Amino acid sequence: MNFLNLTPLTLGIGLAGIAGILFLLQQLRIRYTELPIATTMFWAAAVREAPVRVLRQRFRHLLAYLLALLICWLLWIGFGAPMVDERRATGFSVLVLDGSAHSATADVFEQSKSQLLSDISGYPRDSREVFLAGANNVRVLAAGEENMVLVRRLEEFEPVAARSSIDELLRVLPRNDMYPEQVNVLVYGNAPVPSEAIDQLPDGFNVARRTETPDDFENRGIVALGIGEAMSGDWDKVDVLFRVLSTEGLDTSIEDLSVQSGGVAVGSDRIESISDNEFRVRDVEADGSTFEVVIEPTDELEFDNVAQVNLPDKDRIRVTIGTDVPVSIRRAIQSDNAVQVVQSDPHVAVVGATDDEPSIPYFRTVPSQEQYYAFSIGYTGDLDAEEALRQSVASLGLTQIDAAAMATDLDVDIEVDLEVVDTRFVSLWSELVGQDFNFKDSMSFPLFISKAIRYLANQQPWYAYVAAGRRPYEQTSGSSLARTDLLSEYAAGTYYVRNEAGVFETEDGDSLNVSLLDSRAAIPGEVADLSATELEMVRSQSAFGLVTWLILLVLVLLGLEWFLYQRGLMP
Amino acid sequence: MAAQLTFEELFDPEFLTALEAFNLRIKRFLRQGRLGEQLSIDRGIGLEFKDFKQYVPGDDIRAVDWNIYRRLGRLFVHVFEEYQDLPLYLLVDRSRSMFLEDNPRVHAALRSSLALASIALSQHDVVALFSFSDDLTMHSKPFVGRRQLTTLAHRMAELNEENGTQLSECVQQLGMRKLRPGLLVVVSDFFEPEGLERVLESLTRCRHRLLLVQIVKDLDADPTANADLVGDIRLVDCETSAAVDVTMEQGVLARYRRIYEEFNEQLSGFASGNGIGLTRINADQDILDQLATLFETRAQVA
Repeated sequence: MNFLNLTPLTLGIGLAGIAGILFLLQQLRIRYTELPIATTMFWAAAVREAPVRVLRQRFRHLLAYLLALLICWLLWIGFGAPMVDERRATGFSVLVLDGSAHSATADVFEQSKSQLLSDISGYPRDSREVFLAGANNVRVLAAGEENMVLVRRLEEFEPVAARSSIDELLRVLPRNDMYPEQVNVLVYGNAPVPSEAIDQLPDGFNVARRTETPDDFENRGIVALGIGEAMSGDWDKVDVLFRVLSTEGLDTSIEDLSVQSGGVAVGSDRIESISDNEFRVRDVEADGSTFEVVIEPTDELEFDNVAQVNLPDKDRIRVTIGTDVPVSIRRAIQSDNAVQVVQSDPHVAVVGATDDEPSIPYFRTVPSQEQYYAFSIGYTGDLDAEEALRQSVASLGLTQIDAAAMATDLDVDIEVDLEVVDTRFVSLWSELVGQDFNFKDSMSFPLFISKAIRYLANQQPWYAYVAAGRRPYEQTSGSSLARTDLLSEYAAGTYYVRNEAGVFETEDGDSLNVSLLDSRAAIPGEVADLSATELEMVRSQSAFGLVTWLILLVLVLLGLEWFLYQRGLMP
Repeated sequence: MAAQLTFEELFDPEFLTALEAFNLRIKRFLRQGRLGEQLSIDRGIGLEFKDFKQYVPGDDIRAVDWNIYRRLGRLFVHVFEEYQDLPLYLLVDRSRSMFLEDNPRVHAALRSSLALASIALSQHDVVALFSFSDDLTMHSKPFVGRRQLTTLAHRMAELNEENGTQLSECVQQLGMRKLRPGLLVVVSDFFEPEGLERVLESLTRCRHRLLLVQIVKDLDADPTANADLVGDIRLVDCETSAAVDVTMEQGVLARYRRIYEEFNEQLSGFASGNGIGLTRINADQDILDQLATLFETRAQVA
């Protein structure tokens, strides 16, 4: 029970009111119980020596008044639960319970939750709110809602394998117009708060931590898992790299790692240790299966003991080549190990000036008389024309071409045109690949042909890594530049993966593995300092403790009053 | 107010039996004579020599001391002490304060008076019964002889409750009645609103020998035994209806005890200073035991 944080003015008014009421009570006449008696003459004489209190008579019982006043004041202060932390006294309070992987060790989350539930009664109901910062930031108690609601809402919550989203919350909070100038953000849990997030806060926003971080944390965690092109050059294979960090005193050897690819265990002899904490598995089949790394045995934080990533499915592009295709193009295609020349069921057709226009995506050469622009691109997406042209030019590697030299040789402008069509195509002047022009001999020519074939095949990008809450790094064969909006359907932000580890269904029905891969969660003490701010620790005395001590003091005073009464020292 | 004692209650067989035994016990201690057998200030024919005086005509010739005559040639006669019976006047308080509370004081007062009267009547002394409150009342002509004890008890049983206590006035009224000097036994709580000084002043002027019987109760000295005397109370005088507002606390209680003690000391000092008998009878305890103890120890009895 308390008066929910009285302001100093209200507290003072209460104290003065009590003093006044007690004074009046001391002055009021008493409604006596009448009792007939024979010895009234003696009582009258005794009373004459010390009359009882009557209204408007001299104030006689100063000691009794002061004692009663002190007792009532202590009770008033105790039940009023005055805020001993100045942060609580003014402004709006935002209490943030960290439900990320940072608080998933030992009983940190439970302790933080208990501390928050204990503190919440000390805040005025209309000037506080509570967020749960798990995979996302969820407002679990709005301003004005009863505190009891919070208990039930937090019952179901457990920490999730996610990065802390407190930094995101701190970015969003200042945009809310409902907050006054003074906003105090109290963090319950271990989540680090990035220094840049603190720096960007406007004046009046203060951030402090309410719970202590355990210093005996021992953990090993996978903080990076990524895929790269196979150094062997095999088109249908990739190399997988991963990094494992350990707290001081722990190390990780290959024997501590369990690796599977497509459900099949990868032998430890295939795992290379390329540094103290980095490992690599080479030439993993890029068959679209799941690659998984597990640290054994488990430790305090289980979320980072497992990491998974989707391997790309790198089928060769089936290409059919027409009869009138220049030799230079034919050779470039045949030398690309990502391409398989077929006669039937092709993905892409390559045709010459006299060949028929195919119904599948195609690459063709035409005389300059038949095409106004040197390069013509048929686009099938829904981007606006400028962006589509920019992305297409980049995808085709046209930025690598020395267009000025071409223009000089041909004495015409080299321009690129993009038109929206139903079937993709890339069309260029046949003169550019003819015998009189040296483009076919340049280093950028096979790259252009290779990129054009991949552009036309429109292969799905694959992800070098997919870490919870972070921007995905997408790439296609030969290029890391791909459609970055593909994950937007299931990302927290436009370019961010959902902030929770696990397996999720993509919009096209595929499964996507998301791993924690958070070095701050794995090694909080050592890594957090790099970019996180050490928050001021708030240690405010709880209202319950203050009330307890004040009531005990009241009991002592009551005992003193009884003692004085028994000794006849006060009425 | 307590119910008035009936004759049967005063004269119940148990009390009468106890009273007879009480008489026997008392007699053993009164070897020098009856309660009313008092030495007279008159000199006359007696057994005990008192003095000589010169012979005058009319003196008993048997009292002439002839030895002195032989030596001096003048006639002197022996003067002997003369013993006379002493009337016992019972002056019983019947103000409202005597009828208040459980075990009212009037019960103890009447039983004490009856016990004293029983002794006197059994020794053929004269007993007269007076009562007082605002006025003095004489209830019958004096009683003589033990057989009058029943009549006296009837008269006592008829005493009913009156208003206030005007003991000083009533003592003065008693003095104006020209009664033969005797022993005046005042049975009262002595709670006179005018103050004890006025009572003592009137008793000083009384020409009777005095025996003061103060009827007290346990609550008088220790009011905390009364469960109703707590907190803020208005004490209403049972006789004058005067009210006193009291907040019961240790300071007031201490002052009350001191004042009550001073009251008793004033009464005791008056008795001892004037050769007056004073005894306190506790209405909450057995009456006859207290009287027997009084006579056995002869404490404060003049």
